[in-house]
Amino acid sequence: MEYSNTRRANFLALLRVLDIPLLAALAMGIYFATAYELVDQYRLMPLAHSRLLNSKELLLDRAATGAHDVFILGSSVAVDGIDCHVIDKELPAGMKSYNMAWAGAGPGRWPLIQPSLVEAKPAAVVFEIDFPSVITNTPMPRHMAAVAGWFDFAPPDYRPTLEKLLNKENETDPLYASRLSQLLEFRVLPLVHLEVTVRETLRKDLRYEGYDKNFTDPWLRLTVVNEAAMQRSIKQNVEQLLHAKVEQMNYTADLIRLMSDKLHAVGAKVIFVLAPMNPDVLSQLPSDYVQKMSAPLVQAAEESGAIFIDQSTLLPASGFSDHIHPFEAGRVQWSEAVGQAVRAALQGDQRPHAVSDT
Amino acid sequence: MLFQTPEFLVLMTVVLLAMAVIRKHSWQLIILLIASYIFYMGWSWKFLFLLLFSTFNAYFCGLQIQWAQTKRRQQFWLTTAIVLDLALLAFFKYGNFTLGSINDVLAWSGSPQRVNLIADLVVPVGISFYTFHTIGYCVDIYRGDAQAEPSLLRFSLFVAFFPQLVAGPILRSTHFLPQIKNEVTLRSENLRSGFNLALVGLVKKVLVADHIAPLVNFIFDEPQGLPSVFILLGALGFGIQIYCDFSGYTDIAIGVGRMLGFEISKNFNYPYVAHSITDFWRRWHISLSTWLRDYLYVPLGGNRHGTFNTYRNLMITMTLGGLWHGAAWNFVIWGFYQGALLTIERMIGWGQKRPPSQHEAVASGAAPAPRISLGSRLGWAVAWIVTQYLVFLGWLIFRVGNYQDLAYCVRKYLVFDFDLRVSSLGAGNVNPFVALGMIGAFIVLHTASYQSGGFARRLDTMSWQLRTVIYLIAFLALATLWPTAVQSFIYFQF
Repeated sequence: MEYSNTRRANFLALLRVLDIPLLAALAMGIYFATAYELVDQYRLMPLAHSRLLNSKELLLDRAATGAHDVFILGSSVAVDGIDCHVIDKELPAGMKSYNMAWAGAGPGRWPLIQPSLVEAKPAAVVFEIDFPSVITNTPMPRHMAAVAGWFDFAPPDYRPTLEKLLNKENETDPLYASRLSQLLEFRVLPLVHLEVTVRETLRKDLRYEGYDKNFTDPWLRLTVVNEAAMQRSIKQNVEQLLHAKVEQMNYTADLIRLMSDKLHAVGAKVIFVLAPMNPDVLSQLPSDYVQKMSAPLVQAAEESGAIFIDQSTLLPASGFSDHIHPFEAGRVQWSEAVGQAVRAALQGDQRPHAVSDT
Repeated sequence: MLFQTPEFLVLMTVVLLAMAVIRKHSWQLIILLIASYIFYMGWSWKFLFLLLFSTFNAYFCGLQIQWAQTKRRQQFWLTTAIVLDLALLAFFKYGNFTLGSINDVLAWSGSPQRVNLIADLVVPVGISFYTFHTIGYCVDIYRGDAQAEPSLLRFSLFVAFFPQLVAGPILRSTHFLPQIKNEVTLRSENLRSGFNLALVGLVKKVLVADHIAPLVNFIFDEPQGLPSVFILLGALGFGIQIYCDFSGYTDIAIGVGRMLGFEISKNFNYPYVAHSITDFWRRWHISLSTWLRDYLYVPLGGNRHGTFNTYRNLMITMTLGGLWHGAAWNFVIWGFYQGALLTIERMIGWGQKRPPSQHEAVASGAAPAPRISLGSRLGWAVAWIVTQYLVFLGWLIFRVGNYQDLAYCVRKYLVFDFDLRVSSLGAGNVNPFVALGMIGAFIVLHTASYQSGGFARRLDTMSWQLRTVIYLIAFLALATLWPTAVQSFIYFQF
């Protein structure tokens, strides 16, 4: 090409590479269309996200039948530790329980499901609380918020409440963003879906089959971790707990108030359960640790007329698969304790902030 | 401002359009300088003053060195320039490191006294790079290798030119200043070739480095108790991550520079095909290793004063090179380790020569490499394996800052424990499979790129139909796999 430094030559040079931005725009168009199809139509997304969607749909289905059920929310501790078959034995005839906990979901995710939960008019709701989830209190991933926004989890009139509670790193933005912005957040979903699928296939110590739709016995772990991994995770867990401050409980205390108020308004019994802790972890903490750290939570439950049950010392070390997750016999024992607490609550014996059922 | 953000896309579009519209050379330079300062202020506007100070210091001292009538005066102004530049570096980058080390010594000696650290001291991004630009410039004038730049505008742009400002490659005034003297003209070949290189860099950074990082972090955040296979995987992963992160940045920097009509020198040349540590340093962070050679190793005496002094100079150069990377002892140890390996290679005479690969021989117009016998091929294979084993051991030292963890990792790396229980890989929220896939993809694609003389260069010359398909695949892959949070570049911390 003849060298020229005129303005025209400069623009011609830019025009000659115009295919680059045009192709980028085309690729974005293909991406958006594909993301829409995969996520909206085929629900191709991580299991945690589809479990969230299915939870909402289950709640709405149950609401349509007019049944009054028991719902359990929490993190992976509840996923692995609650067996609804066991709980159902403690409930009045015809009443059913559903374990809607999600792995990786701490109290910060409760408000997302709250509108549907209220609509289901449950007989009782059990919120599992464990210190690591409360302390970590990770902001909701943007892609999860986008999925929740896309599938209308949070109606616009609920926005002020959510913004007050989900105030970390503009968590609520994707919930109320435009459809295009939400689609843009979906970009990692197929990848994470693929990743989890590979994990499902390769890891024989985990059980993911049907996790997104299993609300009865959704536990994931099939084996106890090896000793080295157990020791490492106990050490990490103890360090994390020792570094935590009581003030980190305040956020969950606010959530307790919100959930209690909304659910009491539809006549539900509201029970907060401090999950069993591994004795190998507990023994390395100060003796008053649990009492001190849970004080704001107990106070919030008391103020809201909810039930708070401390089951932190319920299980022996053999009842856990690792530093935190109940396993097999531990799962049965804890489920029985939760079932009994629900039954007592339904019978009117609220026993507010009863300390340890052991 | 990071390359992989919408803000940079806007800045680059504005700059390109401005270069197309504006014909007056001085205005083009002003726009480029303003863009460079906006780019830098994306991190902190306060640190712009440091950049300006370093610029004025080198500009003024450079002119004084040129104008000085006597060698003594020249030495005075050179010393002034270097001392002021290094003082900035020493205070901001090594201030708390030095004070912390003093406290460590006090604690070790049983003394209850401690010195206070400097509160809220942050290392200004890019300081290690632009101070090296300016020091090199003044030394070049002192040596008579370059003329002082009379235009403050041109000199400021040489120091702050945005594509390379925060993580190099380290520019040489003799290479870059003459380019600024020419009017900026957009040429479609440069635009496309620069874009191709930047795209390859973006793919390396966003698709490979950022997806390997979670696995590497998972392994090295708490390595104690992990079996050897994890430590080896972590070292391999980090080696690939840091290469793709840093060479990805460099590719984008060179590509963006080329789009604007500037040639920035190469910084990487397939370091993981090196057959010796000497060869590795000819291929890794070339602008730093040649800078250290020309402005530190040679002034120390280089290899001109006997064997012992050569080894000593090598050790000093590499140890300081390690310290340049970061204010922590593991970087010093890493530099010392590299120096020791280079010294040992010199002692045994290994790695001083290497046969060119087929494509390198063809590219340079040299005679094709002689056919290598099976025996020598085996020898090269063994040399390659040993070299890379040592290189990746070096990455362990580079990555693991805690000494207990480092000792554990090195032990597990050197003595394989045959513990193949990998069930905790993939526990909790860590999903390693994309990272493992990216490690595999990198090995395959990197080998293919080496064999073919580089993907970016192939993109420049291939048919438009094929290029269109590749662009589409790359754009779709980037759109799909773009991480949810923008990750900074590893070398920004240096």
